[in-house]
Amino acid sequence: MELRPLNVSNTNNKYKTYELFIGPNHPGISGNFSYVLDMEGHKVANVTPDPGLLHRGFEKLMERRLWTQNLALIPRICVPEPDVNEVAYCMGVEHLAGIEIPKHAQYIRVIVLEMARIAAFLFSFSGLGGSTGLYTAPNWSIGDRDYVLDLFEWLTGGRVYHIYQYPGGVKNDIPDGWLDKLSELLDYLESRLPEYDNLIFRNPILQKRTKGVGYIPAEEAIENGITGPNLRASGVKWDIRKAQPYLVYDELNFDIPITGEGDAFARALQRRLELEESIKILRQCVKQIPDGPYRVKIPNPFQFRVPAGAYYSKVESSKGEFGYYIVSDGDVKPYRVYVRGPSYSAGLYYANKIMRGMRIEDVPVWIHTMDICPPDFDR
Amino acid sequence: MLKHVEILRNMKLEAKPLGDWEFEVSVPRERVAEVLSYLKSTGFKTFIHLACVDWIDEEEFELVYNLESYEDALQAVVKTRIPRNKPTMESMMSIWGLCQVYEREIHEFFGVEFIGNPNLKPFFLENWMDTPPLRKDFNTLAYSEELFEFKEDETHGIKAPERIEYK
Repeated sequence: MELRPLNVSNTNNKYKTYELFIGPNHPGISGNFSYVLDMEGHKVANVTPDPGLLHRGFEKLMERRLWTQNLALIPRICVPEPDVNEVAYCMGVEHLAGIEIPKHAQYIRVIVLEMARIAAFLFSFSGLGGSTGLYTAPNWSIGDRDYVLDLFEWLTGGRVYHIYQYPGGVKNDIPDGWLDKLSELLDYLESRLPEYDNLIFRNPILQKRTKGVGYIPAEEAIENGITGPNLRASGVKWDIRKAQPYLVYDELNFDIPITGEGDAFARALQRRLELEESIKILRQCVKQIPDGPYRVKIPNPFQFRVPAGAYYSKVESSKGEFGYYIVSDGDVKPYRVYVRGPSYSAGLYYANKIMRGMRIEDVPVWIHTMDICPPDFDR
Repeated sequence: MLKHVEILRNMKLEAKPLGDWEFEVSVPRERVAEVLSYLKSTGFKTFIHLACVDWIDEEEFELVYNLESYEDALQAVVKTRIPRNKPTMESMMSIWGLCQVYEREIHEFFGVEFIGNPNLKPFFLENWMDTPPLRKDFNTLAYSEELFEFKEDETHGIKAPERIEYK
């Protein structure tokens, strides 16, 4: 076997410029996606995102399926946090069809969303640990995430993809004893938080590796369409759950932590603080959830025609604003669905700006603290 | 929000509120840049997305610009229509540099030409020679039947089920 030499694209008196692929199969990247880096020494000179390996054409596929059939398809758009897809899609369809969903179902949706959020935050800790060489963090956080997935399995039948939401509510009611188990899980997760703090956030090596890396000032974050925890880590107080509340978020009492430093450490810490808020929200939901029907009846799926119109429904996901622009022409299938993934602007556009001049070992740290999730733009 | 809708109506544009924190404005394509810069100067600083809808019966493409204002907690949807047989549009890169990638994607999937965008090279697809795939007249079924051969399961004698078209 012969090894191919690296592509040398340029030489100056000091360094040769090499072309280096991060991805599609690389421990520093999540999903089959690659950045082509032009390396000058060990510094990045230019970045070309190369999406497409993961492109499955969901937007086209959705136009060929019934409104309800799509629910089995869309969770695949974002693998670590699939529920935001289902909820955003259902909310859009319900808005167009004029369906009011019962309070009980709204609370179940909030519980599912916040559990998915916790699972996704734990997943992001594993990425952070993996990219900085702190391999205890992935082992712990993936292990704890599995307890959340166990509860999902009990509730919905699926561990990763739940396909649980339905226009008009959810598919099944909460089983007996499930809420008690959820409270137990929340107690457990809360008891684990100090351990995560000691392991990850008070760890001097991790602090050295992440502080000051990939600094994003607030104006640039706004200008470049960065949303969610990454925006709040830059010091902008904006959370869709507070500012434009959907479901029952206006009945729940929670804070929006703001770290504000704008570097990789602030973004990681932001997720850790928001994890605590999600636990708080879930505790309130367990206490406040009213009795009632878990869904309203919708017509036979083969005859379920959504009135003509267009609506953009959005959900605050663990990565930022996840939106569905749904266009209906009054048929049994959607006319057009556009998916706005939260990683799109940061992963495909802003990466080229911020990664220039970055050292190669900081690139995976930036990718993981920004929670760049290639499936949601390579959809 | 009503303040914005009022001002946009005074600019002789069709604007209407949608729900509590969203409004929609329909703009002829020559005035999109003007409206977007106006909205950006009044607080809609975040560009959320650019989507394209293929209205094949009306022979038009619809471009949907979605903006967000964090100060007023508002969402603005700016819609414009361009003819389908000669789809050209001015690039909005001078207002948001971010538009570059969105326009590049739409160029690839719908074949809309964005004037002023320097990089409209293939993005997601590779060696694509067919009709832009997200257009309504691109038939995915015919494409895959032409490209791939259908094989019957010989060992189990299973035949492909007949296709049902829901109407």
